[in-house]
Amino acid sequence: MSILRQFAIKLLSAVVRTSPEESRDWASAMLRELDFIEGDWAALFWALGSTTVIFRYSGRQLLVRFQNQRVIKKVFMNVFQKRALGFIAGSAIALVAAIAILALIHLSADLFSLGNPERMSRTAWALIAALSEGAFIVAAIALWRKRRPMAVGILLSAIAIGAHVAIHLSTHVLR
Amino acid sequence: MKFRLSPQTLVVLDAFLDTPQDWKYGYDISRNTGLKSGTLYPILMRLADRKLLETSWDSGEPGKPPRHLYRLTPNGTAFAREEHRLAPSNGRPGVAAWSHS
Repeated sequence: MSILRQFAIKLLSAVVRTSPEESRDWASAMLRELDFIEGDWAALFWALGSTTVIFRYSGRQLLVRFQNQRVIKKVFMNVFQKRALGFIAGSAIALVAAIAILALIHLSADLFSLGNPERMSRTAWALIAALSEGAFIVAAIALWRKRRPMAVGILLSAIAIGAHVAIHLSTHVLR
Repeated sequence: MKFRLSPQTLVVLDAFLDTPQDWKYGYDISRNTGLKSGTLYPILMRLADRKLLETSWDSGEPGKPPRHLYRLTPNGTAFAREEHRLAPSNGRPGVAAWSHS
């Protein structure tokens, strides 16, 4: 066997070994044909052409795979961003609502001359806290199916705000 | 879906149309059409991707590795015939409708 044919066989064998799975069958097909090509130069040119084909095909497959990955990443990022935004919006809504409730309590106390709201009884504070937390829970349940991240944001913030208010009242006000 | 065929693809389709039922080897197609492996195989790959061409490995002679075989699918045969009919006499490729089965 001439050096040219040996080189052609070695080249295509290496291509078969290194080519990705999608193009390996094709590379093997081209390698098998080498046995039937008359002329060493023809065999060499066959191998060179085949190598080019497999490289181009594999490159295209890699590009398609890379583009698919980018699309998946983009979709994933979109979903993640939407969820994060929903969660942040839910938390912000709960915070604004809590501030509004506290402001209302202070305003009512001023308007109706009820004195310092921090001097209210434990029962009054418990009632306000229960009503507020109840409102948050109702809002979270209402949003749970269609806007779950927002509902989770509202719930977690409501828990955090409730805990903060309870600690504040127990340590500063209701001693 | 429509796609434009190169003159080389038409040549390959014509080679298959001569005996559409027969399986053909890559090197034989190359010799009959005069196309080099670098031109022929991308065409075969595209046709196979579009399910116009079926491929198979023959059992080969004992002790010899199997060879890859090619044949037009029924869709491929219909497509090739349509292309052949549409192709103008000046040798420029025509455009035939092709759909997935």
